[in-house]
Amino acid sequence: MKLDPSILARIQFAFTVSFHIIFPTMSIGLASFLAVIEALWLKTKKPVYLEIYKFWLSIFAMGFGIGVVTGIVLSFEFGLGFARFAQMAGPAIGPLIALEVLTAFFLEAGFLGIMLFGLHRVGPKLHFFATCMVAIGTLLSASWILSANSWMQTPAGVAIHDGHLTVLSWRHVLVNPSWLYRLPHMLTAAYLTASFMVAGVGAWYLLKGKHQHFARRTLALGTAFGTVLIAGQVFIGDILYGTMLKYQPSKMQAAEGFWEKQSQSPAPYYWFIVPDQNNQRNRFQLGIPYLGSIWLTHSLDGRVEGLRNTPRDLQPRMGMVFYAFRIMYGLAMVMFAVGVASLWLRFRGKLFSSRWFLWILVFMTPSGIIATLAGWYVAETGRQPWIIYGILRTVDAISPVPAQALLSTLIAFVCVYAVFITAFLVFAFRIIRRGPGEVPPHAEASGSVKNAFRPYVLDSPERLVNSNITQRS
Amino acid sequence: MDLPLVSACFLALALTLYVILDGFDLGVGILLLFQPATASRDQMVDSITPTWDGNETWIIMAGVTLLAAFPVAYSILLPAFYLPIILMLLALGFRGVSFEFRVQSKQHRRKWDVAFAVGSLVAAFMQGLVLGGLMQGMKVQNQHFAGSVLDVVHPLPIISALALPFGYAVLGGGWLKLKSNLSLQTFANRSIRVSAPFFAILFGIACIYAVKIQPTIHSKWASHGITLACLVGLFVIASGMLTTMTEKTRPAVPFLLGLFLFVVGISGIALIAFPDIVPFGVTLWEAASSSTSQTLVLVGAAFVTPIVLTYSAFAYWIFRGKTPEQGWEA
Amino acid sequence: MGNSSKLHRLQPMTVALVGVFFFFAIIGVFGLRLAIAGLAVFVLGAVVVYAAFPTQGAES
Repeated sequence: MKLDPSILARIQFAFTVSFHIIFPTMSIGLASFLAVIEALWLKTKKPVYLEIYKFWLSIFAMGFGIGVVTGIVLSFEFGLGFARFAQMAGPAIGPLIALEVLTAFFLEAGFLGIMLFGLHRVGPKLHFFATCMVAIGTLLSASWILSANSWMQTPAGVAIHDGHLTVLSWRHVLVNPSWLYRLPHMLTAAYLTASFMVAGVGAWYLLKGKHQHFARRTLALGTAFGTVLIAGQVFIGDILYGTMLKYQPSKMQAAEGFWEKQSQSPAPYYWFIVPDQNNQRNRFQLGIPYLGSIWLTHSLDGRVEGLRNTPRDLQPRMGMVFYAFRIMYGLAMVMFAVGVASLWLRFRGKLFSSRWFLWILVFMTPSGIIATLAGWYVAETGRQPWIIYGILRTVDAISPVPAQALLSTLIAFVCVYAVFITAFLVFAFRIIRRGPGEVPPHAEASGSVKNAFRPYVLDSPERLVNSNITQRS
Repeated sequence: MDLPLVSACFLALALTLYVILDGFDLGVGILLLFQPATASRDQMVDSITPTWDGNETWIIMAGVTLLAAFPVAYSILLPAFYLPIILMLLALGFRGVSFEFRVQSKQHRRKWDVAFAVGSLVAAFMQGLVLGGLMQGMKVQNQHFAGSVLDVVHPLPIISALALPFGYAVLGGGWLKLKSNLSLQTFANRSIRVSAPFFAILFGIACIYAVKIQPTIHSKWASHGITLACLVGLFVIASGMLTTMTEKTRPAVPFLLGLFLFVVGISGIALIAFPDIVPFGVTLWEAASSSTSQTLVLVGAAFVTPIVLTYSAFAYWIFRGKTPEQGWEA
Repeated sequence: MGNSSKLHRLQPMTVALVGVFFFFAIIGVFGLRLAIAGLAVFVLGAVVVYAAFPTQGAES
């Protein structure tokens, strides 16, 4: 059996980056959530907020750790699997990632220790500062790496000579045509992920009748943020769609499932297709009539451009792009519906007592992660066959490493990462089963900056009791 | 201004900081294998928990600086060390997640400690393998790697792979001596006294072997013999001091000696490799990216590194003193 | 009684339709200006609901 190194390199990178993205998505969202919660605690001094903080801090810590180690893998994997890409793109994206390390990674890492372990070593204000620094670090990190990836999607600011890249304008490399649209889209995705995670766990507790106060607060906060965020997200998403239509038409052509250069009029919105890339047609397709024209051309009879507008050797695989897009978009619609429902239930005073809604929230707990993953699959598989769009093809970008090495390390990654995610899920579920702990009676914010710089230990530092006692409301 | 040279200095700084800082983290991890008492192991891990992430970040800095400033070297070196780097990344992964996972389970804590320790050991071994592979040199054609991924399975890389964990154990022992109270002091002292001679001897064998098999290194000794001999001398003296340390030695001394050991070793290696960044055929200037890329990295580094070092030092200061026996949560 | 229960069943349907309308508007089916307006109205409306209908068990 002859193994194709370029396919193996792609599968390996796809696997490691898909696994990785789950965790920073959670971390970016949870870090900001934790900052909000800690601010609420400092302001209102209500113990429930400290409970919420400590509960989600432990899950955040695990996820952050996995995110870091799987991220280190990626910074080397550019060279391990795609050395020719690294050699060409290094001058452009290397400095961006270097700045990410300098301004974001070190910031997160530097203050993470205080955030996780310093509750008893530093005053509340300094601790809150640490939480904020970690949250800002995650934000900066996302910004830089999104710029690097956006440059791969819509390259700008460089001159190519003899296979070597020279950067002409950093402004154009950094603020490339798609960055400022993709960044808010990704950040909102992260915040949505955290909102639904937090709301889902809260809903679970309410269904079980446990930790009522904790659960009501987190459900209320999660749905409140989530509703506003999903509205913003679909708005940004539509603008981004228009941008990508302009700069990567082949991606959006593949995403909608049409093959003909001009589709029928009016065009349906496909939800299910069986694409046949070799024959440039769908063997089967199922859609909602008229909706394609309405959503994609903003008219009742517009025609949609199909994938045959792109030369065959430049076409991405329609099946992957189409279904990834549908999963992401479908989940977005469900999120929007959940948001609207949450507003209605608040109005009726039934937010915490509608069991059907609570169950939906429970099922929607991982929705942000799935939608984010799906969106990234649209972005990356839709960019193919290019690794730097219009400049370097993926097949020309790989390392001089034999297929057997790629395959064996791919298997190693799968095995090791399987351990990571199993442990994460086992422990996260255990934390959820045990529920939030009681907060020591003396846990109050002193609120004094002078005290903040004196390391102190809380009076009677009782260990947090992990119990199933329902928090008195 | 000679940008590639400045970039190389920053790269060397990042690598040195990584080796020193994560060196003692990995060293403590390796020493876990030899510590039977659970409470002591908890203490050992606690001593590095608050600051390990920042320490490890320096290796990303080094790797990314290589990508940005010397993309040709990045694209040669990474495929050349494909296997050890991936194994190192997986090992570092296990070490990293074990920090969080080991505290989640009392009954499985021992298993996670083993994962922690083995991860640290494997990472150190792989780093040593890469070091030896660098000294061995590699096949390059047209600015692309032209050798085999199995080239690291040769005596020189293997010897240095065996040496490095001992070196990290010295650093780890020194750190433990600083941070632990009475119960771990004996353990720390013993670790240092045992590891230092092994490190020195294995490192010495590697150096001698390197001179024999790599003609460039031989000629470097010929031309810079005195400087290199001085470095060797300092290395031997420091190792000797570590091997003969006692309980009466002041707490900070072994750790500082360990740092000194590594700085001396790194200086020697840098002296031998210069002016090549891919030993022994691609110079800094051949591998460098254009000046616009170098400039951005250096300007960013110049502004941000002092800030990073400041708040990193602050984080260390917050967690100064002896590691509390009951852990950070109490 | 019959009327109020019919009204009751009408309410979720109305809400759903309003929601769909907002969705269509925000994704730009009626143009960019209505998209921005729709987003603004939706978000402001949500904030008003949060303020005017605080959840039980919540502090003031």
